[in-house]
Amino acid sequence: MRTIFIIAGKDLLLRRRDRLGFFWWMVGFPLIIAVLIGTIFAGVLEGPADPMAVAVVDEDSSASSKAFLQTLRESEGLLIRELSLADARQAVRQGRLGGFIVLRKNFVCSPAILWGEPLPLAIGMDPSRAAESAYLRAMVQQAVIRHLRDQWVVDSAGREGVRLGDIETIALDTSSARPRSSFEICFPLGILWGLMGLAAEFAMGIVHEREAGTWLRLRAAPIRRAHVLGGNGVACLVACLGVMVFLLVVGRLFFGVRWQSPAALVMALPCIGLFFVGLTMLLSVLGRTESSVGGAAWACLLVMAVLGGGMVPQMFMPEWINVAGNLSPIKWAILALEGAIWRGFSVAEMVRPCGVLLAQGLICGAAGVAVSSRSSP
Amino acid sequence: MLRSRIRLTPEKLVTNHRRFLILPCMIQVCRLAKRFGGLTAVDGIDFEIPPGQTFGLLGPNGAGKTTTIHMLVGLLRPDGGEICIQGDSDPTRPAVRQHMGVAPQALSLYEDLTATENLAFFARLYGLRGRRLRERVAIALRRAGLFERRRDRVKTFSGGMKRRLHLACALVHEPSVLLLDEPTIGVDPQARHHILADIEALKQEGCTILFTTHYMEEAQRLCDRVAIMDHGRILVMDTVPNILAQHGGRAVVRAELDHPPTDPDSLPGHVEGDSVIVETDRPFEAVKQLAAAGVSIRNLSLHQPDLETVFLKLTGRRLRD
Ligand SMILES: Nc1ncnc2c1ncn2[C@@H]1O[C@H](COP(=O)(O)OP(=O)(O)OP(=O)(O)O)[C@@H](O)[C@H]1O
Ligand SMILES: [Mg+2]
Repeated sequence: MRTIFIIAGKDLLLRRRDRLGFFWWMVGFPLIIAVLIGTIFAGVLEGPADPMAVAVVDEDSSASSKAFLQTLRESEGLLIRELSLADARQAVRQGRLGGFIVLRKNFVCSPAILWGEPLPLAIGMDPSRAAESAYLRAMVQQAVIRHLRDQWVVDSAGREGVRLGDIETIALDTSSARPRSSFEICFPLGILWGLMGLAAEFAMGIVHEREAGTWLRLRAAPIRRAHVLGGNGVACLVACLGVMVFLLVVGRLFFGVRWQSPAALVMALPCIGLFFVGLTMLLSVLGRTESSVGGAAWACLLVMAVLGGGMVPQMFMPEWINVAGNLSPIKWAILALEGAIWRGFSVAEMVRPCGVLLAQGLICGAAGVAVSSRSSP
Repeated sequence: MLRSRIRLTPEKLVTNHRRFLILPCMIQVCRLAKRFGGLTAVDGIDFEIPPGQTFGLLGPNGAGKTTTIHMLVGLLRPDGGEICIQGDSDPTRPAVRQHMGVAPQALSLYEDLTATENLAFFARLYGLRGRRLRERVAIALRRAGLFERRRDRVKTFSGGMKRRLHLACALVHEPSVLLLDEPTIGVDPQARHHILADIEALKQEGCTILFTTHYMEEAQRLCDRVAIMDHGRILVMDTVPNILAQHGGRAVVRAELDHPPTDPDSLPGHVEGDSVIVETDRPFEAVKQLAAAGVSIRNLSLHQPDLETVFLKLTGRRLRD
């Protein structure tokens, strides 16, 4: 065991001496990914959607149209601005507003519309935005009905007339099963990119050693091949754990990334680390020279990353990629990290991602060790 | 392969195999052979090295020197023959390697580590730790003349300094057997002198050394015994004086005279133009004869036979082209 640690210590020292590589993979690259993507997607997840900004063109300008305009203003889902028709068209075309409502001349909002009379108003929308168009129509209809009801309530001197029943809403407690911010999604991504970088670096380091005379020298020392491989593995594991802990701490301190289930985190980190150790062993036999291994390693890593949702968060990916991604260990690693960070996984729920990672790591590692034993003294 | 695991120490003159003589040998090699596909790199060689002796394997490029060393340290599996190191037939066993120091032909240093870190790393692999580790590292640094540069990264070292450190890494754990594969390859005369002095000092300390080289003068200076190798075979093996006596031929004295001799018959040797050339076992006598003949000598040179001459004689080729 001591020999393994001696070799691991040497490996880590060599990695650390390569200052640029070390800081880039340990610190710079993962942080850039986490913070940059986190910031880009920040709007997507945060809070309820903003009210839809629309323009109102009041062609009538009568007391009746003004009263309806007021009802529209009271709609929670709409943010109203009064504009001329030309300005409203321009704003919608440029995407500054979601749509516009025209209140026609001689505007009256009478109960006759309940019997098929056309509404004296029109809606202008970008036709490609079907969902928003439907939303705006629903908001307007709601405003019409509210407006009619209010008229009736006033007319019948305090007696309630027509009244739409409220729709009951069921409040779901989604706070724990939802990421609280995009950083909670992007820090796992950043961590995974950091680990992929480390795996490529360590694989290249192993090949470098095999290319250089030091491998022969080690093999002539009173140690076994298992010691050398074990040392490489321990060094890689320590570096992986270092990257993960570092980014999780930075995420927690500065970006509000939670560690929701510490037990899940304790399971996730070593399993992910061990997977990357196995992967490194396999990557190190993909070529004979340092540069060929570097190229081949990144090619494999990129495919795994795309499939596993390491490029773009999986929630923004088409369904079929999510299915294919089940093969990618990156997906399971992200799931394990998310399980610990915001999905609130129990230990039982962590068994699946962790088990898959360990199995994949074992397969990769065994294949890598078998090939390397066959091809070098 | 030998199967026995009896330790052979110089004190206990026991042998673990009938074929080996009862000799206190650190290294014994018997009909060792290695083929790479159709090429026979080592073709049934035998030699043995008693404790404290320095043994030189001399030969041109591709003679099979490195292959032999690699078999001795267990990096290559022989295709035939037997190896016995300190009584053990399996050089891959850690217990056997523990007492061996190896400096491969290719530099094997971590360029991004300092001299001290390299030495300490290799020393730790051999089980050194604590105070003894620090002492041994310091001794090795001083011996390599690198103490002042101990905190510098190896990649900032010159070729000669790297070679010296490479040798220091092989002996930092005080091995009793040293295998050095071309320890002076590619270094300047000053570094070479330093390395040869190092090896001489180790020899004084009683270390058993096997080293390979293309440089005849190194073998002549350091080796108790020398084997000249070519195409995987050992051509001759003996002490340097014996080899020279048997295969070296005679010394050649060449005297360039101011004037062509008037009476060539009174001179030893034969005359070529205005030079007299004498082949003799006793060059000093020849010079005395020339002086007695009263000729006026402009220039006098003496060519003693060396291992280079021997190699040329045995193979018809020079060691280095
Ligand atoms: N791994 C190998 N595969 C195939 N052939 C090899 C291998 N190693 C050595 N050889 C061949 O074996 C022969 C002996 O090589 P070796 O390296 O032992 O020579 P050497 O005496 O050390 O030469 P040099 O002085 O150049 O180092 C050479 O012809 C070489 O091409
Ligand atoms: Mg060689």
